[in-house]
Amino acid sequence: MENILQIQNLCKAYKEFQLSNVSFSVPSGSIVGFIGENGAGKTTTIKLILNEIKRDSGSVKIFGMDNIKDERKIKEQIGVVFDESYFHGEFNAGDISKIMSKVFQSWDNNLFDRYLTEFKLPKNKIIKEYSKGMKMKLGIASALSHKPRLLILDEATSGLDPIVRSEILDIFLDFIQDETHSVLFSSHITSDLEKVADYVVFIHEGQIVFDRSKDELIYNCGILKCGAADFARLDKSGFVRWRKGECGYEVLVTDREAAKRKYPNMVIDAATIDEIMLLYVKGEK
Amino acid sequence: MLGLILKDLLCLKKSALKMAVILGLYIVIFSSANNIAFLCAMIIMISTMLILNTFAYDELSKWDYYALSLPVTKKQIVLSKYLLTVLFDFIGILITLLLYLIKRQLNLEAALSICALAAIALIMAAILLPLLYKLGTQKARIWMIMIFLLPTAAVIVLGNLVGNFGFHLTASMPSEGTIGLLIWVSLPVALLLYAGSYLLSYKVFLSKEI
Repeated sequence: MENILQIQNLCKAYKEFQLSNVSFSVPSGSIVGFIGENGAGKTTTIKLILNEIKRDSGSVKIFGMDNIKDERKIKEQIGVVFDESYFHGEFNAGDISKIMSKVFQSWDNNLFDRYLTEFKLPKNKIIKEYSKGMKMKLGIASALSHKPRLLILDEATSGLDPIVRSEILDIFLDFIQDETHSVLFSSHITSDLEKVADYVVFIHEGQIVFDRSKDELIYNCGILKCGAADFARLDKSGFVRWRKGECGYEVLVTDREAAKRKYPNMVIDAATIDEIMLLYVKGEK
Repeated sequence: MLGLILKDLLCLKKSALKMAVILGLYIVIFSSANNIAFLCAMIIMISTMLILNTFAYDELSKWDYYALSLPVTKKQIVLSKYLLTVLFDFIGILITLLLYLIKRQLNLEAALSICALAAIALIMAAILLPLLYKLGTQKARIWMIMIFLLPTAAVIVLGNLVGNFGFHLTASMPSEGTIGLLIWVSLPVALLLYAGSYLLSYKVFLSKEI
């Protein structure tokens, strides 16, 4: 499978924060969830992908091209949605269409109008008067109307209610029906990713912790729950992280079935992405 | 690039009407008082204000952050502001020219003051734009007031010099010809400064982490 986006050993150092050796890829026809707590480096990575800030080292290839050398060619084919609307509040959707048709060669006014109708966005109302959900939908409509091949979403669903979120997720699922399309979806709402992502990339303190298929992650990972006395007796070599809670220990294991065979008397539940993230960040090793 | 300029123009659409009314009012007041030179200063001020407004709007909506995700380079973002400024100044000069025409005063003296107006407008923008990129609109606003005070005074003094008042003081002042020459030369100098200012702003913007 061809990779639409490929990042290798990306580094960027700030005074207080450092992104080090970030590598992952977005295969075509897939949605990659990019998770991590606030300040973990998600937005920095996205800014580096978009060449908004200078990288210290590493490489970013989009559609097989270098993101700096072929910046304009690449950006013609990327749609980006941020966590808020960056359009001027005084604009209406008609203004956006006028501007964007001059920005993108492949901008399709009819397609944009169709999205506006589909998303029930009034064309003459100014953006300032839109609700947050409407603003996000407008951002998505304008990110899709130049027929991009890669969508980059930076917290595009945060702050939205579950109904709007599920509508938006449907749009993304629809988008990748075309096998040449992909989505990089940064979010800390992991339930959204559980619904739509094919892969999950987890970043913590500027480093990639894992990059795995979502199904594999959800089917294989497990949480073993036990009391303090039991925990002391366990062999910790197969454990990824553990955490002491109010009612005993929670242990993250990467192979649930193997752990069940090893400890037939213990409770081992399936792990959600939330729990996996939490244990990685808060747990001990 | 066209998209960026269009964005700024659309942005000013609402305030444009107010500006037009204010400008109209000034035109009526000052042209009847035969003080086109002072009106010129007003026109520069308004066009500079409009540019500053586009920056303020951009800041408010974090437009640059979004713009950089579009097929638009940092160079184009900066260049679009410089072109827009020239466009506004050009419109300002056109208005002044029209006023002189209407008043049937379009002679060498008028041509000189228009030339001086263009030069001053460019020099002011050349100072203000890098400041806007470096400091943002809030801090640059204070600078703008200072930048305005000097040339407004200069325009009035120059206007008076070139006008009837100056001709009687030929003994203590440079000759009419010298002043004329100075003004003609000031335009290419201002253009050079403006070009240099563009490069400086681009450098500032390039190193900015948005």
